[in-house]
Amino acid sequence: MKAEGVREVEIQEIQIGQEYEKVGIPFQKIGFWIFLAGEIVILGGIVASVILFRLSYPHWFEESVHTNATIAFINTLVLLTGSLTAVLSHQSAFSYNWGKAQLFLGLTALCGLVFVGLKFVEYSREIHHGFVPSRNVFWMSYYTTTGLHGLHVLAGTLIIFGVMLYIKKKKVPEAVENAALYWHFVDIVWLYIFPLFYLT
Amino acid sequence: MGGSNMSGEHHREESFIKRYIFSTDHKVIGKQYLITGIVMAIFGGVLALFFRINLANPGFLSHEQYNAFVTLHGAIMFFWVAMPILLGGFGNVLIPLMIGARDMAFPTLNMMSYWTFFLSAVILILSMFVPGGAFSGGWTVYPPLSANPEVLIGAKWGANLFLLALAFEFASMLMGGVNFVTTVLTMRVRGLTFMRLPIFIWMEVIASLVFLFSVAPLIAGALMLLLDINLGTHFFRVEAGKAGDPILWQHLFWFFGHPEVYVILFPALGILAEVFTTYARRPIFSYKTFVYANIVAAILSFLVWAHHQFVAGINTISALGFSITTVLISVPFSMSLVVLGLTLAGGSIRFTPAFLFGLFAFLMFIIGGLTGLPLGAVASDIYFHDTYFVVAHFHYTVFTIAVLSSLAGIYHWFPKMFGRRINYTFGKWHAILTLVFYNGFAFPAFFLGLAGHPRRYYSALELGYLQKYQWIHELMTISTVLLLATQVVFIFVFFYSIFAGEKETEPNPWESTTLEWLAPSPPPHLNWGNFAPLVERGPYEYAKNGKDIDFIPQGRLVKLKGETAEK
Amino acid sequence: MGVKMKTTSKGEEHNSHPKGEEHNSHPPYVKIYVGLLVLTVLSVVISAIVHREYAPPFVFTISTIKGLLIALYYMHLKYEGRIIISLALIPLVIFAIILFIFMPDILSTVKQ
Repeated sequence: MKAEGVREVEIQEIQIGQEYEKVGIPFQKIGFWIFLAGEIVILGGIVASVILFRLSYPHWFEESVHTNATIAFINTLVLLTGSLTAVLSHQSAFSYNWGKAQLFLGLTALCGLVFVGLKFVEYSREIHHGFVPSRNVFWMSYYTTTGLHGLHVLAGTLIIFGVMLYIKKKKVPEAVENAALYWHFVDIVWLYIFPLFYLT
Repeated sequence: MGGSNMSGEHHREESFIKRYIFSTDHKVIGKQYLITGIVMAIFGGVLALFFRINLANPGFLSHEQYNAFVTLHGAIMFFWVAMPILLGGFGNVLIPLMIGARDMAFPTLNMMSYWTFFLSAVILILSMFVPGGAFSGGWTVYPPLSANPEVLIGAKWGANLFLLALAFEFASMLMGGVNFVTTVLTMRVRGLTFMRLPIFIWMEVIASLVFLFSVAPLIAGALMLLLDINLGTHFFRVEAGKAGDPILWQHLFWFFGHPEVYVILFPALGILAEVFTTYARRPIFSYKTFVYANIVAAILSFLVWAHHQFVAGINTISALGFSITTVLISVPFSMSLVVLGLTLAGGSIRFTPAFLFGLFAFLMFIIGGLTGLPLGAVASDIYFHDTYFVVAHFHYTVFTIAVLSSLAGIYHWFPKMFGRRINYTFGKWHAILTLVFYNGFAFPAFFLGLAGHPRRYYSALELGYLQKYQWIHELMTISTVLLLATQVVFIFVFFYSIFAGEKETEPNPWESTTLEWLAPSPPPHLNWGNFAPLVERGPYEYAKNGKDIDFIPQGRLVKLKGETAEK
Repeated sequence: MGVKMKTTSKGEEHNSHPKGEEHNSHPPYVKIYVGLLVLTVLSVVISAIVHREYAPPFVFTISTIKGLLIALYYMHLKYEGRIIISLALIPLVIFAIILFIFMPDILSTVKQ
């Protein structure tokens, strides 16, 4: 870099677009990953707190049998399917197959809606049976974690839907990539929530 | 590269609203942050004035008002004054200018960041006028008190709105942080490698990252607290048959709360580095030491939080560990201060208002840092905890950071921001009077603390052993009144100078080296017109060629050629 | 809508985004998906056989494998540079700090 400093004394004019340092990563991607890092810590904070509550709560296993593992299992499959379609959309966008990218994004958004719908059914059944958030440590942890996660799925669905409309006008593959990244992140969190509340 | 419009060719005629209200221009957003921060500082200062008067003259406020004002004063000064001025204000104005960019990487996000912040300030003020009154549980929001509306006045709607306002403020600063880091990583102008970045830029990036990673767990905690207040969960509430864990909140809060102090300290140190090098006409003593020391401090800042909880009943072994990390973190900060001090050595110092504020901030911060050590060691902290000693300590750190350093920055960059200058003589008197009155208020608090006066108490007269120290409270209150009066005059002069101050036509009035001084004052939309800065050397090339030329700018403007890349 | 998508998918933008080529060789997404499904079924089966109290080590290990598959291949962390990798790893360090340094204090009180 020092040698370059000497050489550049000669430069009198510079081509537009050449005036910046080369970075090699699209700025949208860096920005999104910084945001995502924050999101990981938010959900990580909830999950870590819940793990601590779980470890100090002796009746966890007696309560966790009341959750609906069947719906949660279906929801896991739904999220994983959404992840597959999201990554296929990402791949299509980077090979400039925009029609396919939109189609796959639509499928992902559909998965998001199915997930939120099933979650809603689950909640209403549980509340109907008297399992409300203030019941005990298990249920307050359950509602807080899955509720926050559900909001993230909803947000992810809206982002995916928004990007689906956005790439009709602007062909920015990074937009598809970022939307897919968000979906994968929400998916990974669910992979831990599923055993945490439903299986064990 | 990034941004919606990088060409700089066309100046669109825009409406007033788009130019000055919902602007995406980083300089306008920075000024909006700065001015909102100053307005909130008046608000927070008036709250302080009220409860100071109450302490000198008990009965001036009701107990509930007193608690609420103390709570809001703390929260406002941290989140609605220090952060918007040091990060939102200076960060937005200076980051693109100092790295030679035309705007932030995400200009629209930047605008949303400011308006989210504005909304948060409105919500905070509204929270004082809800049924049940303002939240009065202290700025640390400790449960179980804060989560129990049956016990604490204002713990229902006051607390809800308080937490909501905090959430919006955090969201706003996170948007800003994403922007700052992305912009610095991807939009540096050619030749500006990482080790040539002005130190202020390093500090803003470090601060943004520390904020990002420390605030996120607290967002999770705030969600749990909101559910405790509104849905009857008991994450933090301890009632018969429902044992929650208030210590968890303390951990989550201080995991953020302590790094938060550094989030505002890093930009302040950055300002000091710029101000010291410019006015002492000296290169920074050791650029690499300064940068690496602060990176180490940033990492360590995640491992010191529990020294706020030594008396809360935490595990004694971890308390020992936190005691050690607390002493350790003073090492990198001492190194930074030594570098700053040695920068002054042998310099030919120009005593401008900005330099005076910088120097005073430097000296006061040494007091603040040293008095932190007895609070970081378990044995002495048990005595000092929650006394006025803590109040004095954090006013010597945070007031220094948020007010003295910010004022140094304001005096330093005012000509660049507004194209006018603040009267020098006024500035010097402002600096000296601020220093005197500030010490008159903060220094006596050490003695109150040593005498065992607990903080947050409504009145010293209610405790027998403290009655004889009432005169110290009166002294502190008089100093506070004078300190605030000085700042009120400054704020008048500040706004007067924006519109009618002496015009500053010279783009580089302080003969400084960094890139922002190459742009016209005030810089136009997209900053550089048909030129681009090209960087050829490090940021602090002062006193290089003997006495004739005592500074070499970091870069020079080069004409742009060719078609615009984006329309 | 279908017609419109056809016209935009022709690849006119190819020239403005020359880096599209590097993504031509991609990981086997569908195979990974099948693997994820199998692992999900496996974790449900384990939790049905093993008692709830002893299942956590097994099912959380499976979750971690699944998470790694998604992070490495679907989120392309396997192919990213230092900046992105550290942005993904630092949050995990903070998660560990919260979990393990908070632990002695939170576990000392038994919740009811």
